[in-house]
Amino acid sequence: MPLSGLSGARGRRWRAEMLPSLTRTGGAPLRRLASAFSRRALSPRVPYAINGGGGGGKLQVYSRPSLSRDGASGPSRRGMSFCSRALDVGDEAPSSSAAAGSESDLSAPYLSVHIRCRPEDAEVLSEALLCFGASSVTVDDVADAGNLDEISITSIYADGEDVASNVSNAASSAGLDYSPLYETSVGKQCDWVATMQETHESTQVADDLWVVPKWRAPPDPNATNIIINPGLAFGMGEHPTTKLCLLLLREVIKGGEHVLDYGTGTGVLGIAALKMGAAQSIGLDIDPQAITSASENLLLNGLHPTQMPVYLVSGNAQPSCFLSEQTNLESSRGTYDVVAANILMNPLLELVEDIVGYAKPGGIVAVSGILEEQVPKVEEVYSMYLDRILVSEMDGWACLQGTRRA
Amino acid sequence: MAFCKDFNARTQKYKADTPMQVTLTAYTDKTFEFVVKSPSVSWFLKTAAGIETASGLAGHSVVSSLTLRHVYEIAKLKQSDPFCKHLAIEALCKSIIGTANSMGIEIVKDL
Repeated sequence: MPLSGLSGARGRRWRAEMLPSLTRTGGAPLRRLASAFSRRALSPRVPYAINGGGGGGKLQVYSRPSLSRDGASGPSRRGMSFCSRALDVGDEAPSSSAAAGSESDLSAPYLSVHIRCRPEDAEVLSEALLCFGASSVTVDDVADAGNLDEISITSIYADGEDVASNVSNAASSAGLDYSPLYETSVGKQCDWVATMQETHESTQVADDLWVVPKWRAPPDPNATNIIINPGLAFGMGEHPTTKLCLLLLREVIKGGEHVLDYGTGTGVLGIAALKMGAAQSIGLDIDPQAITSASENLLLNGLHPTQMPVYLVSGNAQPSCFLSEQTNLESSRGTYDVVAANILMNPLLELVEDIVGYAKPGGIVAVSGILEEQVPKVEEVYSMYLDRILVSEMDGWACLQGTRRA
Repeated sequence: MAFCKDFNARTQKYKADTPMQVTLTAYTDKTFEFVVKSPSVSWFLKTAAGIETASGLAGHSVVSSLTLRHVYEIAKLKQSDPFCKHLAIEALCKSIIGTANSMGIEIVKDL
């Protein structure tokens, strides 16, 4: 029986930067952490927006964080915080003036309190702790504590909160006939952006093909290294669909080709094609974020913007609805040697004529972003336009390629 | 970003703006697993009946009526959920009729 009702859905504030850094510790007990999950936290900057957490905030978040006790596992270049205020969900009132004061200082340390109580009291006590000013509450998994007499709750407070009175108030309001034991430790904020960057590794796609985050040195300077600044756009090299497309490009690009990257994201495919010897790449996307990102990554790789023009196209699934200055894009239809589209099944099906239309007769069309079980549907539609269809698969994802009929 | 790609790929069969129920398990090594469930029965019923809100006085005021055919179609969709797979379609239908009753939606044989 999962501990429900730990959510701070009743307007508690949820601060992302208040969580101690999550580190990989194998034997950590399963902890369950439920919190108000702001819709905004989910809204992606990709086309075809998702809807997370239906009607009644049904999205539950189960996490397995092993809280690092010292909280100092990241470089502490303090002061840079990670989109924290944006995650605040409407709060009725700050619980105390001290808390309100420290709220504005995101570099302030936080208090991590380990409270021990009987397992049957954990749920009501954690609710009470949230009501009396805890910023977050994490309860050890009840299943793990099955035979134990007590369970531990880890609660996080802003610096300067009166922990003693909060805990005793919470205990009495929860109707506990004993005062729970607790210990307090002080955690430091760390720079979450830098901590995140630390965890981004270079991805080896093939023996001589790497996708390297901007802040890392290429592991093999002689290989083809595609340098990417992973931002809000898609295509950091580690996703199976990106890998499949890169492997395909590696196979088909011999030198001098014209390549169209349909739905370019970070521009990873277009840049890769250029590095493999293509004469020119063109990037298309419906997301302005992707255009910015692709242009930046192009420069990071020492390529000239004329080698890979990136166009923003209208995203209402109407093929060929371009801005006026993109008429040269329109006139280039039917001339590309390779067209790669790593998007999703529905847009692939809707835009089939547009996508295939860019390739010259005999040119290669590769579509990805589809799950293995979606392959038959996509194949059915694309087989009307393509010959010699091949499907490659990786981790449940698929990439379909074929040559355009004359 | 991987989550967005995964989620969008797995929900391609739903129309945009359909409220989804998702159970997501996030692990400390930045990996995650998630299960996408079908929309809630009440959303299906409201959509099928074309109403914004259910009856405020269920049992007293009937806001709309649906046929058993609707119920059967909803049950078939719900049966694709991992936790509903083992349930008989009759049982699911009964449960959906129960939800409809509590929303003030009458279930009739034919409209």
